[in-house]
Amino acid sequence: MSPFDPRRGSARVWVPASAAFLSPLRIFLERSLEAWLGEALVRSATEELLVAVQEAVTNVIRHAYRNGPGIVEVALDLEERGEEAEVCVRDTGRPFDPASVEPPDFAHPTPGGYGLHVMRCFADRCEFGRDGRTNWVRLTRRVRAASEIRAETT
Amino acid sequence: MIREQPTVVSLDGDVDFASRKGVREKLLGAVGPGRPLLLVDLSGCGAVDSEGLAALLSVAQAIHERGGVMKFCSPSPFVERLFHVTRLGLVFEVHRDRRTALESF
Repeated sequence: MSPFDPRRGSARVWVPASAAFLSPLRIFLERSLEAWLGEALVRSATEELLVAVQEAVTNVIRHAYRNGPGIVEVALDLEERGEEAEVCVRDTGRPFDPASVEPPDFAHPTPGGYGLHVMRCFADRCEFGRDGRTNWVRLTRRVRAASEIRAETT
Repeated sequence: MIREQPTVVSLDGDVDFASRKGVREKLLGAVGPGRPLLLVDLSGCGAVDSEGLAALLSVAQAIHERGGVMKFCSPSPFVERLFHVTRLGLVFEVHRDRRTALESF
């Protein structure tokens, strides 16, 4: 079965927890959104969402699996009207508590600690959870131009 | 007055978790001994994430500790937004284009 379903606006892939897969994963998600939305896709919002997703996957590699072997599931869904894209990143590594992460010290910047902040800035919604042994992060962002939405509903 | 000329390095491709070590080595390897002056041209950059930013910040700090200066030019609109939300745009000196950046040294 193809991970990409052009009719349903959904795509689901499983990749090894490795930095080598970050760029191909981002390109796959971007091409999927391009295929579904075409000219209606808001490039700037998409760039930001996909970097937020990359931050989530990097967190899984570094913290959930501690740079060891593991699988990351990434599911992309476009809501029915095509206005919002939702990306859910799942892993079965160590639990993650976002409340335990200190915000960046903007007055005294240090190299590191910006990942969660970037995710929250670049997604409209950023939710974390754990079901059984599975951690998940759900990132949502409006990626379709407002004018395109109005044109279809009038 | 003779203006000091910086070393100019263009970063191509993604600056992220996967490339961060190579980016750091490329930038630090480009500056010679003495007081380093480095201009990083970002016009060829693809995606930049927080790990890539951390690499850039660590290089900037290493150069600053040696009494040098590191500046950036030609960021994409996305990189500008990333600098803005992380407030690193207040720490880094960023110029719209290479010519303006070179004149600032």
